[in-house]
Amino acid sequence: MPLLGEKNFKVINKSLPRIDGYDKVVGRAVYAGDIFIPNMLYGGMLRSGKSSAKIIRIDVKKAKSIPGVHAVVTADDMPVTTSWSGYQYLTNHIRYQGDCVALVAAESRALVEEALEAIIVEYEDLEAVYTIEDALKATAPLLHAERYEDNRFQDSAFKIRKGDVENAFKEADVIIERDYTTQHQEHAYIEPEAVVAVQNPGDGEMTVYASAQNPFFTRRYVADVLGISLNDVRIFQQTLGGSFGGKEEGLGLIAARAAYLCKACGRPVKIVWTREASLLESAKRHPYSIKSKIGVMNDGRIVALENVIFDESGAYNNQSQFINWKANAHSTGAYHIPNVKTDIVGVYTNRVHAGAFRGYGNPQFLFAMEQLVEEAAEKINMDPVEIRRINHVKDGSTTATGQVLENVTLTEVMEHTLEKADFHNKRALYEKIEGTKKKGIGMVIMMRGCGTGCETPDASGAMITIMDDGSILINSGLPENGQGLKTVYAQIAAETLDVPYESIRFFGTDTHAIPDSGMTVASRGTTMGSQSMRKSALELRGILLKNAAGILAVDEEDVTLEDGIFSLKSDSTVKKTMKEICNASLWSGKQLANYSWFTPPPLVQKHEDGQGIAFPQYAYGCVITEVEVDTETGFVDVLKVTASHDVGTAINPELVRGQILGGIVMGMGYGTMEEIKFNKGEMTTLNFDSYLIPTALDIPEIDINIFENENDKGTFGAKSIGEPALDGIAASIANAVYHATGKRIRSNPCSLEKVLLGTDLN
Amino acid sequence: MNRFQYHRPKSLEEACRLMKAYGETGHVMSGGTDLLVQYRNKDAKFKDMKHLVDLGALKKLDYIIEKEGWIHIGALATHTTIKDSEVINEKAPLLSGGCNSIGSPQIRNMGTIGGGICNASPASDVVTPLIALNAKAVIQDSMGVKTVNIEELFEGPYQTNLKSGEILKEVMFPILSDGSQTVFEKLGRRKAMAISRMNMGVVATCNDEGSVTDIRIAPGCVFSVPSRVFASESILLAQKPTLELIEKASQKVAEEMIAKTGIRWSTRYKEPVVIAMTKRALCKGLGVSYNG
Repeated sequence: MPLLGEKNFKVINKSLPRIDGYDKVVGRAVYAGDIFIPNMLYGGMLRSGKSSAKIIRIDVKKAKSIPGVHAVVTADDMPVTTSWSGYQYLTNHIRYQGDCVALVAAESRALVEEALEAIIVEYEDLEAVYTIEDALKATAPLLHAERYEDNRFQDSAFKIRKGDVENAFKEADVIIERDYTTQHQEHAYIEPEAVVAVQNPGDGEMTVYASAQNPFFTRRYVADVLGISLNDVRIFQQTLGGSFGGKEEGLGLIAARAAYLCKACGRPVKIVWTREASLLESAKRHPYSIKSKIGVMNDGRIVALENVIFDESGAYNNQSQFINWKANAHSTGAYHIPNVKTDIVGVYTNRVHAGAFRGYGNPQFLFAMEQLVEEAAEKINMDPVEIRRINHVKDGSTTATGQVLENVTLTEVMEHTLEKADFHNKRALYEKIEGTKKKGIGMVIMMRGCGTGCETPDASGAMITIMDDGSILINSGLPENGQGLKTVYAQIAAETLDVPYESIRFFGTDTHAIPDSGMTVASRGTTMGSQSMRKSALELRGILLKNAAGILAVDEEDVTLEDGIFSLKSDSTVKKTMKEICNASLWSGKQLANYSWFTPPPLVQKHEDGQGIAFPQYAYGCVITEVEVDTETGFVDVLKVTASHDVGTAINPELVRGQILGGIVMGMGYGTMEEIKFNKGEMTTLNFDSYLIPTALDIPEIDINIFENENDKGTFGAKSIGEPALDGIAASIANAVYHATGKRIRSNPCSLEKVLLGTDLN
Repeated sequence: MNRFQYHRPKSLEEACRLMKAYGETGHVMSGGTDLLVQYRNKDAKFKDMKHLVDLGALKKLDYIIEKEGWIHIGALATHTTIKDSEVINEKAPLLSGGCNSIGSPQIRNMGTIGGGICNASPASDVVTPLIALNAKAVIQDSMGVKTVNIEELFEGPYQTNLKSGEILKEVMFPILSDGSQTVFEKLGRRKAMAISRMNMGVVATCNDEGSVTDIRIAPGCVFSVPSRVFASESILLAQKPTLELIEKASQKVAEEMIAKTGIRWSTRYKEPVVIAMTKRALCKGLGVSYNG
């Protein structure tokens, strides 16, 4: 398998400038918070500050009487959501600190605040649970007694039953059991959530300009709260200042609240979350509690693995069912293990709800698995590389779900990375360092299913329209979330049509302009989501050739289109531009647009044992991280990260690098400093002075190795990269810290206190 | 909602008059990098604020002067001014080190030494060096000026004992003798924009025989009111520094911390770390080799 650079394409596989780069750099990109509509009101929401309580009395008279306040709304006024997530636009039953109890619309933000402070609420405190452990006790107060008999969110229960774990453990030479835990992580996008709702006074259509990751998802919330049909709601996705999974449900809730206030007041309403509000009510990365038991033979073979995993859903069921499916399907990491048993289920607590976050179960599970394998290796006196060599997946290996793998590139990716990072020499060298600052080097191998797999169908639609001057508009049901989707889609369309990249514009997502293609999640945008763009371009290319043949009065087979120029095979002196052919096409009534739908090949997996084909293909990667640990303070300085990823085809190599760089920094924050802290249910990290993410000075030296290979599963052979970029970073840091200090940090992150003392301060 | 009047006096005297008149309802702002954040967080101390007196126009107080064996720094000198000052870098490098470790360039450009002192954070990276420098605070009120040792300003965490109408005008400290070494060490959770988990200021002077003639140990984030640790210093004073003595002195800092603040939830972490940080700073300051 070659490193980047041996594929032969015209437009893709090249680091072309971002189609939306200029607007962002010069500051003319319009974010939802930038939108100002004359006569606009501001909306805000009241939170109880409590983790578990019921409202006894709520008095809004004083708030309503303030001049300039146009609406004060309580849960009793508002419809109950039919959303599957279970949490409410407003509620009288508070299950966590982020729950909202009243809404206000007023002439200014200052008045909104004044009105919120004037609302009088009396609460009755209820019992609460703040940890997975407490929530599972028989005596625990129940979060959702109306649906579940205990705090297990049963719809998120998945399992793997592969082989015969019991017998395999009997045969194993060595068995070890370990507990690992991971923490809440905040997405920390630079742009907090923002929406502006405006209603057409004529037909009542509600338009919301939104910082939405998934505008079609947002649309459902708005239609739901107003009790209107989806075709009466129009969502414009504004330029997004980061999302990473975070601007889904929470954004839907505020879009619905703004729309409700807009309708109630008959005036446009803007809601922009403060950073504190964003931290309080946006979803977080699910904390995992992982108990793993592994059986190995003295020769290094892993024969059995058993995982019991609980993830903290928080107060509502935000995506545990999907993330747990994914974690379950990946619950052997990048290893071939013949006997596997995994059980996973989400648990309700009175803390913030967890939701989608780049990585989606893998960073948590790899934090456990990649340490566990090394712990097992140590027990049989085996080198951490050797145990990986013996057990990592190869062609013909099976995954946790029993899927037989082909085209596995992991050996080459891993060996290259080991050499590139000088792993063995540095390992030996670092072990000789004396003094209080110790260096360590740690590794991780990983694989990740590309796209949504069996979780949801990976179908999508795309549309291409060509104007009479030959310029091209493309659009897709999958939006640009900052990852470079518009650029990649334009490159794919240009490559397929064989026209210049510069002739293409991607106008962005308006839910009235294109059908829903499912969510832009799961690192699916390029590998699977763009299949429909390629398909549409292929079909439209055929149409263009036919148009040209008609206009030139020749056989269709005689016409070619290259770099936007039509010519005849029979007479190379005949050349026509796109403008000439498209102009003539328009005025002669010929088709110049195409909408195509891509349906992926079926995947089948059984719920009873989790066995089946979970994903069309997998992306493989290896990360090696070097750290320096101050053994007297516990400070972990991440010095260097060498990251290698098999991306199949790098559609835009610089964007791939961007994903990997960002993933490393985000993963490094997860592994060293990022942690939502609570005092019982009360979040104490409410802004970026206390919730710390890496700064420019913390970013390590980074060496990126992009691998390509041949495959026919993703668009032009592309695999996923957005999430693989982050997945293994925290685990590699923990392994490096162990190498440096001899201390296993089984509770993420490697904070000052845990590295020095072995446990957090509590 | 809290509404207040904003004032931007043209002279320190005017500022003192305003503050005297407003009493408890007035607050002084000097840079605002702490105050604005606390105000936004609805800190209780601003509950009754009716007047905000912004010293931002008093450019005359943005100075660093060396005069008759003392260095004078105006209260409005920014952290950037101090960290870039040749005089400070040469004569009191621990202070430029402290200022350079505060926040980010943007915060250092806005934040002032006066504001940093009067915020009275136990984790201040500017107070720790000043304690080690034996700094004095010059306080102005409508009657005139008075000078006090800087420690005397502090009442408790985020609390000074300045009275209504008293405004910090400058800090001054005696220039160290040639051959004095200074050390500033900081431990944060990341390398920039980090509030100190702990910091340490040390000034050390030895005579020609190598005996310690002056030693000042000022740990930050460990006491409710910043101070030197004299009990620890006396272990080293008039002695030839050795690693053993330094370890003893470092141990003493931890003992003093526990004696003053008791055993807290964080003591398990802070005790070993304050020992290590003191040891490192003392070894650097006294030229004792230690692999730390």
